[in-house]
Amino acid sequence: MITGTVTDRGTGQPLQGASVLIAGTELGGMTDGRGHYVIRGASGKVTVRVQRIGFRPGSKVVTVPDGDSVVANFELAVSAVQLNQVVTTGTGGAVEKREIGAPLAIVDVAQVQAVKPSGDMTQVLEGQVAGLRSVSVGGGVGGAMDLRIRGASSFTLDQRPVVYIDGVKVDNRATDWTASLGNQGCCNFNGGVGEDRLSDLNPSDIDHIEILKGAAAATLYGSEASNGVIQIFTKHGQTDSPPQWTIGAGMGFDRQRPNYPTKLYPNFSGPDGTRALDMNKTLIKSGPYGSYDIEVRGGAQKATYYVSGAYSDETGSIQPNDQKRGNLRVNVTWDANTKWKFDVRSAFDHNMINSLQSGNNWTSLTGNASNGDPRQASKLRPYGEAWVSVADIQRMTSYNSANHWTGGLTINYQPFAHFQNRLTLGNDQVSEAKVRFFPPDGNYTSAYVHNGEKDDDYRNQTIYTADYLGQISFKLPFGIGSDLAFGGQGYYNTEWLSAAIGKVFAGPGVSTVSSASQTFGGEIYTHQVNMGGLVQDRFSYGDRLFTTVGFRIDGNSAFGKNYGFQKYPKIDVAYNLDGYKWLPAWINSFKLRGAIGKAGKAPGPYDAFLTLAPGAVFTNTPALVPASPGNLDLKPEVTTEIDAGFDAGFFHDRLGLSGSVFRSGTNDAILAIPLPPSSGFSQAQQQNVGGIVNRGWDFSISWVTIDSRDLEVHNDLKLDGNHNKITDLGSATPTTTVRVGYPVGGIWAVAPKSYDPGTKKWTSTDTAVFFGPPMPTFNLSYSPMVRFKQFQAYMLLTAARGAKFYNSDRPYRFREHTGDEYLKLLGPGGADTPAADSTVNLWSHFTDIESRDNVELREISLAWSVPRSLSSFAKLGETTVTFSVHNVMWWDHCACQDPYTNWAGASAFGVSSAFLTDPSPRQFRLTIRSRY
Amino acid sequence: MHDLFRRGTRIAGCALAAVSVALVTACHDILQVQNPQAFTNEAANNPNLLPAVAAGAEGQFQLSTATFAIMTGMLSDELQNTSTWIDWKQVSDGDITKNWPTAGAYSGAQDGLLRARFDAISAADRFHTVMGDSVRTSPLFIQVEITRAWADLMLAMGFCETPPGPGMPTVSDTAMFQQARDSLKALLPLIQAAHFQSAADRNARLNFANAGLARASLMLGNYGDADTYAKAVTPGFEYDAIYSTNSGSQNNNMTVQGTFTNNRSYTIRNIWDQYVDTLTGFMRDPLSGQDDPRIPLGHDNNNATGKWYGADGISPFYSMTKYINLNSPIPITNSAEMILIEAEVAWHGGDYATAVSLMNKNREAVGLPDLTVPATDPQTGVFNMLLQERFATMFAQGDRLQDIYRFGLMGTRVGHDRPLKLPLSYNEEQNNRSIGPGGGKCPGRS
Repeated sequence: MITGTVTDRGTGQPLQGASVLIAGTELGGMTDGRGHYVIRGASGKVTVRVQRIGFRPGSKVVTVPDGDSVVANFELAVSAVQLNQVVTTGTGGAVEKREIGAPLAIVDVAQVQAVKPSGDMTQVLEGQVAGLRSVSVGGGVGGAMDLRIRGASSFTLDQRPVVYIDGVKVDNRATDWTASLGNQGCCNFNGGVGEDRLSDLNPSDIDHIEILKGAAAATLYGSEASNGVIQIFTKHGQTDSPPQWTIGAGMGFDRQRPNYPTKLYPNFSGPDGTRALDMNKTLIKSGPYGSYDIEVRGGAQKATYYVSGAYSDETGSIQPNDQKRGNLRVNVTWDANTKWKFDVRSAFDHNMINSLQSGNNWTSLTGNASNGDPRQASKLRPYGEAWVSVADIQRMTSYNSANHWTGGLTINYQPFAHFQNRLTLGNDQVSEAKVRFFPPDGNYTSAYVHNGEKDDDYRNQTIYTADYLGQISFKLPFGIGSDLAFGGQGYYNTEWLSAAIGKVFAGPGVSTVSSASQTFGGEIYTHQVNMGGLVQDRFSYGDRLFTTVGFRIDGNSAFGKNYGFQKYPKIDVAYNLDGYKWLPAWINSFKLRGAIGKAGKAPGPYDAFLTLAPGAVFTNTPALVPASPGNLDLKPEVTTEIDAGFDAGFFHDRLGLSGSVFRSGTNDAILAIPLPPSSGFSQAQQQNVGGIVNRGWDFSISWVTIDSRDLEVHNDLKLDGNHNKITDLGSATPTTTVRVGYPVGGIWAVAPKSYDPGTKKWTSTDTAVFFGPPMPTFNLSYSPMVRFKQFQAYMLLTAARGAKFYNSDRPYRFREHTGDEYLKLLGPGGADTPAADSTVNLWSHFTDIESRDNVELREISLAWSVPRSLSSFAKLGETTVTFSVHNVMWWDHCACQDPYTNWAGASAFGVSSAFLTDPSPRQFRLTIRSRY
Repeated sequence: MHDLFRRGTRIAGCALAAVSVALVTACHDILQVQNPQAFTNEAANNPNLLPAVAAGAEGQFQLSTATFAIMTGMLSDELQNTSTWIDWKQVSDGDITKNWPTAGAYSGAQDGLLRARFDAISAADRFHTVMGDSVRTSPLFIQVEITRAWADLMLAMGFCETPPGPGMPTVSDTAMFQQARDSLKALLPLIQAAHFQSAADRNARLNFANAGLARASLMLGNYGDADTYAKAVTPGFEYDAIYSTNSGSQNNNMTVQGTFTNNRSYTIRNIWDQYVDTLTGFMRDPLSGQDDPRIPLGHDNNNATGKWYGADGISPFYSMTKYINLNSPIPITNSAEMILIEAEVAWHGGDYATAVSLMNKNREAVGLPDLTVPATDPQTGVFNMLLQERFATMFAQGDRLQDIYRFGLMGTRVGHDRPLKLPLSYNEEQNNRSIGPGGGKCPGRS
């Protein structure tokens, strides 16, 4: 038996989650919270290797006498390089990153959480990976975040990467789904912002995340992977480890930045003498936050366990708006013998979001307060509310309640030393309700709700995943190693949406659909099946040159009837220069890499079908009308990515550089080609006619500037650039916004030319002109970390440039003769002026296009590792107290509240419009975490 | 070395082949899914579904009426924008630039009618497939054919040009009137021969066809035919666009957009404000000074002006209470219109007394005093009466634009430099390969 402890050489703190292995065997284990490990079954002279994300690997040769034990302790140095980390996603089995030629990234979530406590998984990823965009786009607490990798590769299909948790595909929906059910009353449920099912997860359960940045890396995921793949690995226990408890608690508050354009409102009064209110002073409140979590993990000789529970309650700054989340997770592993290993996981999440009424919505709370005319203020409408009074909006009920269960079983079977089999079976189930209630005694006439309305919408999503992978390792002559992987992967995805709607209540006191005088319903069911087979071989030569050749074939129920199976090949090469004598000593690792591969994106479940849609006309008479023209030849979009780059470590891996250039070309991009209305079908035909290219680069520098026991300084800089262009539209007629040579979802509009004071009219360009792309062409994130003794400070600064957006709020306010910008132009007593008239005329005819360029201080945090003398006095274990602020401040050029906001939340690129949308609040947090 | 690579390739190939064969064999059926929300084209060739197919065509035609009436009304002197939408404002201001990245609201009016017409054509084809020769005596066939013809007629009323068939180049509104007239004429014997369940059913279709023929003939200047077909319509006949509260898409969009309790996006054009009686909630008949029950207008009793404000927060707004409920029907044609066609024919013939007498029939029915032939310049005087009576009788039904257009009144009544009719739909222009972007030719301007 070999035992020992692994510690951080700089801080002397124990390292949890380090992987300890006996070289050339399958024997190994993980360190527990004390940094302790145990390896059984080793004897004789063996090499013990240790590695952990963020540290340089270590190794020692020890001799284990028969029936006895030895101690091997390790002190690992902080590393800015990840080349020795083992990855498993999209690689056809576990392999060190240095052997992979494709672009992939690893995020050590536990480490990120230590410096930047985050409420959900997408927030964890902010600024962590070059080329990955994870930003809040509005909607208050519980609003979805925009998550995408390396630009847009589709005209019509979802832009989110596919997400797996421990090998099981999970629901990653972040967009509103109620609109398709035909809401009876006003608008989208909460203005178009959807809830993010990835926010169901407890980020404290995540150990690390592997990110496949594009098609070249994600080929083995086939027809769902052209946007990249994110695989989340949750925490597990360690063998031979006593129970280790970690408890955490957080408190704080949310507070919106007071930058709504209503600061002049109190200068005006309404007809009844009511002085108008400035919502910055009256509606922005400090919303309390609290969180509690507990986990225990450990293990016996052959089994491990990880059990966790968490609860958080966050109230938004604009109220009502809050999110309450509860999580339970149990992960158990059992090493039955040297051949069979079982890993069972079960996680249940309950996520309750009282949604902020925001976005494209007559009942947008701040929209009414900031679009109202202060000169019409009254006792009932103190903001001169434009449509619905703030008081009535605050009386509405609008919530999303989701139960999310993800379960998985992974069986590893190794009949021979060089033959491994892994089977993963999993199921992800989401059952969510979206409920909205307009009280019958409220005045919602502008939202065309009279005497109340109740909307009960339900969504049930089920994904079954089955994934088999076999691996055979063997040696070929001339020192060539071969790791052959083969397998199959399939998923079955069903989504059931239903709605029950009740309108017009007799009066206050009842609130169910059935108690309304008019009731309606809706139901939509979709299902999709994908089956794929894969084979791959990784050849190695001299532990220096690695090349992987792979191939995947897919069939999918969404492919047209005339289309068969889709094939996705790939090849990548990694060449490691370290060890060459000619390499200067200060370069201790250097990997050149290149990859080319294909991945796809399947069409929507029924896009290939020609359909006639049933409906009703003339009051309850059944009707059938042509709906979708279908396309029997419809096939997946196929993205071919070429990526070349390097990963290098300098000065004992204290300075890490990594860079990539890529060209990602999508062929057969599906374009929704509208048929002329004279040809009937109301839906556009989906055709594989488009070509899209993303040309970009990403670059990261990680520098362990100082690494001593008392002082540690790290600097991380991540940069990326991307230019997106439509290269082909096939036979499709270009539209104003979809043109070859311009980006997907480009921002186009008619532009003002000149103002004629005589006619008091603006003239415009003859046609819409191109203003810019919807996504930034350049992103930067810089995150320095400084630790001095027990104190650690962290900051995350981001910048983006190049993107434009439709700032719909600004002209809207002018057309409504309101907002500070308009009110400033008025004369004494609120009299009209030529400047006010001219501006109103301008914005009565044109859309305002603005830049999303910005610099944002996203995070600052200060952590204190409480001395043991103090923590033990308080009967606490190893304890850290962290104070952090998220969304601290941002600087931009736009006349808007936040340059990232989008009324439809995390919708696809197609909607790039800020409209009545609320930015994410500043989040002030004080977190304490103690480990026993 | 070569052998080794071959062996590796063979192993890999065999493995993939085995997995693929297993997947294809075992899972072929799994990859077949059905859409439970819709019928496939083949499944719709079921005799039991044909009534629904016919209803779909006629229903879509009726549903498109509301948007058509709003857009044509806003371009004329009838209605005015009070919304927050720039594309609505453009129609109302007569400043349709067609250079927006999106289709623009005016397109929806034509799109709905064009799709309804295609639904009718497609339904007729399906009936031929399923019913064979018996189709020509089928009331369902009559239902879709008359829908097709009336869709053509409405397209002619509102738009300066329209493709006469799916994917075809555009023709003028005059050609569309002719196409509608020819189709309806050809239908008359088929209606007589069709196997309707009752005489009432047959008469309803005959009346609808004759009403269409009367209107088309009037617009084409064939006053004799117009008079004949108008007289053939049974008194009391009315054909309505029927709406429902079943779902938002079946609501009367005129109610959704034009009433105070809903969207407040359009109202009556402000040139009529002087006639609004804010005590009773009606527009006063300019010819008699009495409240005209045909034009009810909601107002704010608490406001000194009697006006609310539109959705834009600044435009004075009268609620369009002719269509007060979401399922209020919109008359598409009726015997009152036929009386006015007869009156107009009489006016064209110089028989002013008959013209006034006919108009008085309609006025008496709603309790308004009779008109008399003016002693001086009766031609102009009776014309003004006729124009006003058509305005009031067919208020907010989609007829006003064609009247303003055909009598050349756009410049004097609404303003100069305005489009005379609605232009070709942006969606049709962009996607119809016989036309292409920028291929729309009209309208002319006032």
